[in-house]
Amino acid sequence: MNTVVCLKQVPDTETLIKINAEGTGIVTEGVKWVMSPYDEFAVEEALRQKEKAGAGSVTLVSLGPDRVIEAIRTALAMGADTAVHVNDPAFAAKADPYATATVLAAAIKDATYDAIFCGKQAMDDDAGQVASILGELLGLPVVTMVTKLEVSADKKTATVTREVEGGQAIIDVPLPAVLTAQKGLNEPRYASLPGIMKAKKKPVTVKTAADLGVSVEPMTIIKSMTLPPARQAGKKIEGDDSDAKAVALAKALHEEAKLI
Amino acid sequence: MPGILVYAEVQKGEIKKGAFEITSKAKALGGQVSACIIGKGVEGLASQLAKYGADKIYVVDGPEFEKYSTEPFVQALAQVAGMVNPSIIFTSASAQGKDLTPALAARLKVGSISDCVDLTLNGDKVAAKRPIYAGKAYTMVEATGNPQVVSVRPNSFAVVEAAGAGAVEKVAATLDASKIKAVVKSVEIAASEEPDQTEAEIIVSGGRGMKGPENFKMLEDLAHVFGPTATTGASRAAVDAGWRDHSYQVGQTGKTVSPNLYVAAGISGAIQHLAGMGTSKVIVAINKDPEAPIFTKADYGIVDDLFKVLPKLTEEVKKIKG
Amino acid sequence: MHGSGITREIFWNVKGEGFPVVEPLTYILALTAILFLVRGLIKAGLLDRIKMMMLATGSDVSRFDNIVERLKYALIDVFGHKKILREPYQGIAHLFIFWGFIVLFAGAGLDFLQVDIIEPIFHKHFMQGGLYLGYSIITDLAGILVLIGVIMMLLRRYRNMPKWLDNKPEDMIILWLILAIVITGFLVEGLRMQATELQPGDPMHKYAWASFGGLIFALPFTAMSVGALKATHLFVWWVHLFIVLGFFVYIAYSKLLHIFMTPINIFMRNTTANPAPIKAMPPSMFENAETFGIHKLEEYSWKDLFDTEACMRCGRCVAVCPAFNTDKPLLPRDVIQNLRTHLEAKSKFAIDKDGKARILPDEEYTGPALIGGAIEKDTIWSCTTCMACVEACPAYISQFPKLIDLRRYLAMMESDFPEEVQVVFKGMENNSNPWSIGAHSRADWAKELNVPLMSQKGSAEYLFYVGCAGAFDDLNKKVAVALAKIFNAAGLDYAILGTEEGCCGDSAKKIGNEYVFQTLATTNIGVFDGYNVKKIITMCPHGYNTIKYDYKELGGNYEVYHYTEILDELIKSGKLTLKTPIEGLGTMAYHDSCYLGRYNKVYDQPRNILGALNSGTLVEMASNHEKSFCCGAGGGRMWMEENLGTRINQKRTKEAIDAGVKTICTACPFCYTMLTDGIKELEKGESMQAVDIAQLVAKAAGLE
Repeated sequence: MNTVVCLKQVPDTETLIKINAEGTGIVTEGVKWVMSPYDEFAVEEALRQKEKAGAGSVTLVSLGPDRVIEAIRTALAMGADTAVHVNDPAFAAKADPYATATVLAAAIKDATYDAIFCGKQAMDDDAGQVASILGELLGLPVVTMVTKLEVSADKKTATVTREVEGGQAIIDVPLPAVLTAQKGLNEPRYASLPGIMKAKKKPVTVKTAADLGVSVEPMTIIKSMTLPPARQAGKKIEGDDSDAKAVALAKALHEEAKLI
Repeated sequence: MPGILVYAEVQKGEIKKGAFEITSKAKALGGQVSACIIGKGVEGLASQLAKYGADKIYVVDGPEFEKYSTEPFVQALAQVAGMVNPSIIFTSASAQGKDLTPALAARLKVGSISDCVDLTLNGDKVAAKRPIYAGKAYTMVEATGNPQVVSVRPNSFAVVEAAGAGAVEKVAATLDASKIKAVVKSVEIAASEEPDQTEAEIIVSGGRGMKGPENFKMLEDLAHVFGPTATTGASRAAVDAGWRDHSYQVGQTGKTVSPNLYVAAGISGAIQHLAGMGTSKVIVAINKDPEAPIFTKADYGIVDDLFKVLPKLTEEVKKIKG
Repeated sequence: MHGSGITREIFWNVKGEGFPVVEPLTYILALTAILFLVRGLIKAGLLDRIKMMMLATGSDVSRFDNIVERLKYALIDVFGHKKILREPYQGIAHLFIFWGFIVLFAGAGLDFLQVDIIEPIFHKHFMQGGLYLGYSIITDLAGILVLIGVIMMLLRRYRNMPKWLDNKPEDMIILWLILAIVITGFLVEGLRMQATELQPGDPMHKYAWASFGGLIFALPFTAMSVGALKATHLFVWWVHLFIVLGFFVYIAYSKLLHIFMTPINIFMRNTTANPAPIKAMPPSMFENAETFGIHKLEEYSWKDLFDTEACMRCGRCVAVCPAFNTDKPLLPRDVIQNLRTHLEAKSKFAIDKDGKARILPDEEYTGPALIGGAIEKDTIWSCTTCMACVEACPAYISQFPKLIDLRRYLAMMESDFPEEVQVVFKGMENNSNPWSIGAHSRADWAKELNVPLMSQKGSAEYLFYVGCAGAFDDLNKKVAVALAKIFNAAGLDYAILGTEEGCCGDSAKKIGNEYVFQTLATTNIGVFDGYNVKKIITMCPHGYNTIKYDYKELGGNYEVYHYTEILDELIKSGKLTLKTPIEGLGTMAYHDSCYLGRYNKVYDQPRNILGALNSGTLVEMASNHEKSFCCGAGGGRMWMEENLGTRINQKRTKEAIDAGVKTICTACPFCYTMLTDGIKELEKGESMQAVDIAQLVAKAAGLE
């Protein structure tokens, strides 16, 4: 089974987010960059499908600056075979979801694959759009929020379980298709040390806008970025007795927090 | 004034509250408000949208829309969009909306703005506020295309009654069958009334302070009065003690949750637990020990006996909920 | 005392006239026994086992440096029973048998010397007079001691069998053989005495008391005729001889081999500063090696395999093991024994018909695997690396480090570890702490405390290395705060690294992820050396130990102190005065942290500090000092679920309860967490508390 996995490098979820002086983006200095966690599920699923089929390859595609090679190496260490790193400053300020999908589609279009895996959303902008646009651009069916995947023996179709509100839907989809990974699809492996060492020698093709013959304009523009108001200090609910405190809490949840 | 098309999601035979929220918001922004509902046997629901400001309601009704499936819904909605020619399309960022919205925008060859929590309008231009980095920052985003497709996070706007003209138009969808590749075979909605902890909007969680498995009934009672989006959880101590199944465990070795409200009853707040629920929007802690670390994370803290507080709280919430 | 008459005829009744063949026959038999012993050793596979040891490729610490020092230590330990006497009952029993046999062996040697060397060559009879009497008294005493010792051991095996002892047939055979040797020996003596010196008129009659053992054993035979005595004596003499020779040959086939192997192992003991070294993995290995850790026997070092020869299954390692004592499937003795069985089994594959041994490629070997076969995974992961086994072992065997080698293979080659550990590794990799809390908040605890930062101060006498628990865990932040206040008050020239500090990596190392450990360690070393750090104070014994020993292997050389050492010194020198009495401490006990106590012998300083508080009453729990019982968090167990057996922290907390302790004092963040939990879990929160020593000192110094 041949698969393509789109991956994105994002700040670690615990990283302190600081807004730059212009108020247009985050301060990238001191940020710990990691592979987006949902993309890990995507990589893992691609690897498992390849292992199950007993043959095939897993190709990574990622868009971003030089530092992205670290995320690519992480996925290669998990077991992916090759990677395409689209790295061109021309994309830097323009890579909104639509532009990103356009670039990825250009990088993928000549590859042979039975499926394209993405994370259900990237853990930085949390937009969750790229996979759907990619499917549209490549003319492929898209199934999002996949929690289970079974590929037929001939690799022509797949039975996919996806999460829907309050339950799950089971879908038959012809391959190739774009599938986005939801938590629960699998447990991503921890790269073995030989995997890490081998990853250093695996081929990574770097492509520029010119190589791909694509230019993009963003469809959405970030006007400003701000930090949320600081979390207010916790409030001790006081009262004469337990009942009074319970009443006061219910009132606070209703009137202040507006949760009831 | 912009023309706004609102996609009103139907689930379990009802229009979702989120649809009323975005209809109300569309009305408040001014201009012509169109709404579209898609489903099987949904025609009768259409008039409800008029109450919140829909001037025109397009109904796509047919057996092929009984179950939600991306491609048919995208085609139908795109068809309606073609008829309305709106400058803005609003959808709800529900589980369905998150699937439908980017696909719709891609079909219309425009960008979309996902999961907005606030909106302003400059002429025809929408400026949408949306959280990024799991809520650690917010961006103001504009879309360059036409229409501007925006999905809105549920609970962001109030439902406001403001009557619209409410004309209902049935649309016969002309589906391009060659594009419908994925086929929904079945949809299973979990028998359990309680949502999964990772999805729940409210989690009532218990720890060692619950003293025994029998007392978790109190938590279930409270979750029950909070409503169908509420469920119960447990700390590692409670799970280790065998009081609760591991599937309830919230924390580093259990589930990572981010509900709107997290009630920690008898949970001291070990660091492993905080790692799993620290991003909850509002945290309530009930614990006898004033030194319990959970209080440093709690928005509301009660230092008292949870066995006295919980029943009373349940009673009060029930009263407020009416 | 006139000497010439005070003697006896050696080989009485078995040698000389009427017994022409006895003496040569005795020697022939003895020689045959030696041949049988050698043959037995070979038949029991000693040569094959040695071949396997020679195949072993694993690295090891030096075993033959300072030979004189090693010899001295081994002799003192072997003859002085230093470690064996750690357990008084078994120790004394063994001491009696050990010394008893040495004396009896020497006695037999003297006989031999007299009869077959001195007499034939020099025609002298030295075994007489005072010497003979002394000889009689001492050998009889030795016999009695062996008798007492062996009865003590038999009682233990039959009446008071501890649950950690595994009775096997050989254990009983050996004890009954020893008993038979002493009893038949005394019978021979008693029968001879009854036939000779106890007969009326015998010149030796008045010296019969010197053979008091024989005297007792002669009692049943007082009615016998001399002829019958002689016949019985002859018979028992042969029986005695055959049992002795049989015992000798049995050495080859049984744990008796420890008579030779254990002293050799003591000679080869670990003499490095690190009390429980784990195989060094030079950083270059990551680039060059194909496999990491150990998954097959030959990857151990020869010494690892030799350890299995020295083990006599005494079970002391089992008795002290926190995993075993909470019903987990880990018995350090069985790890060693199973390794031995595995070695024997594997030698059948690895050694061909011509006796040539080779390392089998994985695909050629079809026997049971090392991991999952000889040693179960649950065994491997149950270890808390508390070092109690290594400390307890009288044969100086290194038990638990052998498990870390297996963890290394599982963790680095197979990514096979308890699933909850993955987030710990990721946390260490991404945020340099096991909780995955944002690295930027590492110094948040120190806000508004006026704690000097190395980056601002430039240099300081001491680096206060706080560690992850002190920096991130709410419970242990209180300890870090207390220490900062104390250091400030005492005017210590110190600084912290703030967000430049990283995880020490001890947990990663002990879980077997040497790669992550070295990544963390080299980053820290780079930062330490950037500030030219010479002295380090750690809050956590795990950081203390790993910076002290493991960083050295990576080129980091520092003087490392645990905070209790510094506080003890500050109090002694008067720089810190503890004037404020602390109310409500009640009966308190210090819980020795494994990594502070057993690993680094810091036993007194924490107790000195507690003594200086002048509050509360200090007592000891049943397990203390080098016999202290683990809290359950070491070896990365802090980050794993404890799904098997009962909880170690509760077992330890119960010990505190049994000792009537109200305040458990800790000096380790893991212990502090585990015992705090233990108290809560046992619902003793109302009547007990756990508290870190630093918090008490801050309180007593009026710094709260």
